Amino acid sequence: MLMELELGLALPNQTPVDIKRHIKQKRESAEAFDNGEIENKKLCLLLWSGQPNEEEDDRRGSQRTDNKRINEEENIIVGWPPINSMRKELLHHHHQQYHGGNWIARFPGRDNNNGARNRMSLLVKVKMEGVAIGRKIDLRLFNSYQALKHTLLHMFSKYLKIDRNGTEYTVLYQDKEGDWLLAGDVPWETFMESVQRMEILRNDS
Amino acid sequence: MDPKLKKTKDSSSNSANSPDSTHSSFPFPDEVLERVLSLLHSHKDRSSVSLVCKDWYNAERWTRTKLFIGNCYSVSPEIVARRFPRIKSVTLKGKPRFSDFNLVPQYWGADVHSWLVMFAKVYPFLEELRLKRMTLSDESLKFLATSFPGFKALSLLSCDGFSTDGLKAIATHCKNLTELDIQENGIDDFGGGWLSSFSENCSSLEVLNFASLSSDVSFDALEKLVRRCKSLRILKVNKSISLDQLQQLLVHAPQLIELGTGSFQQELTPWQYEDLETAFSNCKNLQALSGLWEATSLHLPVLYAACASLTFLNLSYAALQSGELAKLVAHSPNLRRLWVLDTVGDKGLEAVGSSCPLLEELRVFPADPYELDLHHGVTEAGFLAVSHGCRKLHYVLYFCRQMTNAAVATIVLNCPDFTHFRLCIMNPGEPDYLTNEPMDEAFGAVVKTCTNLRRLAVSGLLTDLTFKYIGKYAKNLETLSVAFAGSSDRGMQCVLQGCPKLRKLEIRDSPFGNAALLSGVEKYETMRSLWMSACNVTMSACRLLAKDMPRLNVEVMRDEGSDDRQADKVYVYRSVAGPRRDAPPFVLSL
Repeated sequence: MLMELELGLALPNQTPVDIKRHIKQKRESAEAFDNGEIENKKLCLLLWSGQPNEEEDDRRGSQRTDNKRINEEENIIVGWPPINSMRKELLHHHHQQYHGGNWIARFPGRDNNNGARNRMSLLVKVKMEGVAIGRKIDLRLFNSYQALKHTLLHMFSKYLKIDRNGTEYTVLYQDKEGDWLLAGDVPWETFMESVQRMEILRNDS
Repeated sequence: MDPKLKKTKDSSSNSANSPDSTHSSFPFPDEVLERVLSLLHSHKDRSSVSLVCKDWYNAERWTRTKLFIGNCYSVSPEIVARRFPRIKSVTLKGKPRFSDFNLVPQYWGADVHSWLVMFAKVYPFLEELRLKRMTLSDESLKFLATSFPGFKALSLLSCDGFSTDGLKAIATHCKNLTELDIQENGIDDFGGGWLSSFSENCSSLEVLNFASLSSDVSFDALEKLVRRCKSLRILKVNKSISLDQLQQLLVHAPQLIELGTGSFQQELTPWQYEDLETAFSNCKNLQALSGLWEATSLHLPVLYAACASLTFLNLSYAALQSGELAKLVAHSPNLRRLWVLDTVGDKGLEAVGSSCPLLEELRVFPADPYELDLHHGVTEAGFLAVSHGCRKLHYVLYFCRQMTNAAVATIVLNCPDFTHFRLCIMNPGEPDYLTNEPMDEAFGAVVKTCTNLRRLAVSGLLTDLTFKYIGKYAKNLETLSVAFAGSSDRGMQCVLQGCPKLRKLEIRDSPFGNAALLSGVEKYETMRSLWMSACNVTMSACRLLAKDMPRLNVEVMRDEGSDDRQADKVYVYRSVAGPRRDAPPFVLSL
C-alpha cells in the first residue's frame, strides 16, 4: 500500500484523481492511516493543478491583461519553456557545477543516484499578511532560505508595495506538529522535511 | 514468396470481390503488381496505393515490410496483424508531444507490450523496432530480446518505464544486433554493466548510441566492442567516457560517420593532446558530431581537422561562448545543420551567418530558460544575422527573450523556404519589444512568405489575427503548436477551417473554448490528433464531440481541484480501434 502511495507522490504534476480514489478506498477498508501527516502531505500534492494559484482570478481569462504577472510566475509554469526533460537535466547539472551555492533549482530533476524516478515536488501554501489571496509554491525549486524569501517577496510585491530588501518582513512556517516557527532557524533540509505551510508577517505588526 | 501459398490466401481474402474485377481493368498478374509495389517505401505512397482498388490494396498489404504508426491508439495490434502479414520493421509513436514537457501524467499509457505480444505471434522475423514516446518495461525488453531471433535494430526516443536491466537483456540475447539507439528516455540507470553484456562474438553493431545514460560503462568492454565491430558507423558515448578514452576508441574506428563524444574536459599532456588531434584528423568520413559536454576553448581545436567534412554539429550540450563558436564554424564551411546553446549570443550567430552559407537547419536552445534577465541569450539580431548569411535556411527552432515583427519579416524575406518555423519567445505573452504591439505581423509574414511551411510554433503576444493569417495563408501547414496565444474562439476556428493539410494541432493556455472545439467536428478525422490543455473547453462540449463522431476518441484529463465542468486537458484523435481499453482512471474516455 505504501508503495502505491509513493508512486503517486513521486509525480509532481500527475492529475491525482486516482490517488484520491485510492485514499478513499483505504479509508473505507479496515486499514487506517496510522500516520496522518502522510495524508496531509499528499493532500498538498493533490491540490496541484498545473495552475499555481486556483484562488486567484481565472488565469485563462486574464492572460493577456497582465504580462508582468505571467513573467513573475514564469518559474512555476508547468512545462514552460518547452524544453524536454533530458535537456533540463543537463542544465541542472551544468548550473550545479558552475554556479553552485545559491543557484535556484528551478525544476524537479531526476535523481539517478538511487534510481528513484522523480523527486517529489513540495507544495505549500503561503499567506502574506494583508493579502487576501494566498499562493502555493513548490519548495523543491529552492535550496536556500535566501532564495526562497527573495522569490516570495517578489511574488507578493504586486499586491502590496513591498520593500524588496525584505528587511521588514518575517517568514514563518508551520511544522508537522502544528507549531509556528521562524524560517531560517533550522538547516534547510530539516525545514524541508517538516514545513506544512508558511506565512509572511510585517515586522511592525 | 511462394506463389501457390499466396494465391490461396488471396482467393479467400478476395471473396468479397466480383470475379471479373481482377482481370477487366488490370491485365497484370498479381505477381507483377506486387513486384512493382515492393519498390515503394514511403508509407504515404503506400497508403495512397492501397486506396486505388481491392487488388492494389491486397498487393500493397502483402508487400509492405515497414510499418509506421504515428499514434499507437489509432489502430490495434489485432487490426494490424490481420492486414499486414509480412512486417519486418515497425515504428510506433505513443504519447502526445506535450508529454515531453510534463503535461501528461505518468502511467498515461502507450505501453508497447501488447504490440510485442502480437508481433511475436505474427511477425516472428521482425528485425527493427523504433519507438517514440512509448512506455516499455524491462519485461517487455526481455520479451523482445528473446522472441525475435533475427532482431537487428532497436531505437528508443523519449520512452520511459525501463531501466538498464532491460538494455542488458537486449545486449545479451540479440546476437545479430546492428543498432542500439537510446535517446533522451526516462530510464532508471542502475549502472553501466549492460554494455558488458554484449557477447564477445558480437561484431555486427553499426549504430551504438548511449549518450543519454549517465553511469559509467566498462571502458574495456566498450573498447573491445568498438574494435570488433568493423561496420560501426555511428557511435555516441556518454559523459563517463573521457577524452583520452575517446582517443583510443577513435583509433579503432576511423570509419565513423557520426560521433558523439563523452566529456570534453580533461587535463591532457601535450602528447595526449596531439594523439587526440591526430585521431580526429584521421576520421575522414565524419559528418556529424555531438556530445562535447563541458567543452572549452582549450580542447575544441582538436576538432578543427575533422570539421571540414561536418554537415551536422550538435553543440547543444556545450555552453560555448561566441568566440569559441566562431572559431569552430570557421572550420566548418559544409555545415547543413547546427544546434547550439544561446550562450553563444548574437555574436556567435553572426559568425555562423558568415561561415556557413550552406546552413539549412538552426536550433538555438536556452542555457538558462528560467532566467528573466534580458542580457542573457540571443535576440532578434542573431536570427537576422543568420538569415542574411544562410539563405538556404529552412528549419529553425529559436528560443529567445525578445523579438520584433520587423525582424521576423526581414528574416523570412531572406529565407523564404522555411518548412519548419518554431519560434519560442520565452516570456508568455511578450509583445514586440520595440513597438509593444502583438507579434501577429511576424507570424503573418511567415505564413504569407513561406508557402512551403509545414510546421509552425508560435509565441509572444498574439491575437486572433495571427490565426486568421495562418488559416488564410498556411495551406501546407501540417503541425501547429500554440501556447498563451489568441483572443477568442475565432482564432482556432480560422485555423481549423483554413488549413487543409493540418494533421497535428496542440494548444495550451489559450482562450479557445467550446465553439472553437466544435467547429472542427468534421476536421478531426482528417487529422492525427488535437491537444488542448488549460483552455476554456467544458465536459459537455467534449461529450457532444464524442457522441457526434464515433470514429474519434475524445479523452479528458481533469486537474484536481478544478470545476467538474471544466475539461482541463483534452486529447482528440481518430481511431479505427475504438476507445482505449487500457486507459488509467484519470483518463476519461468519452
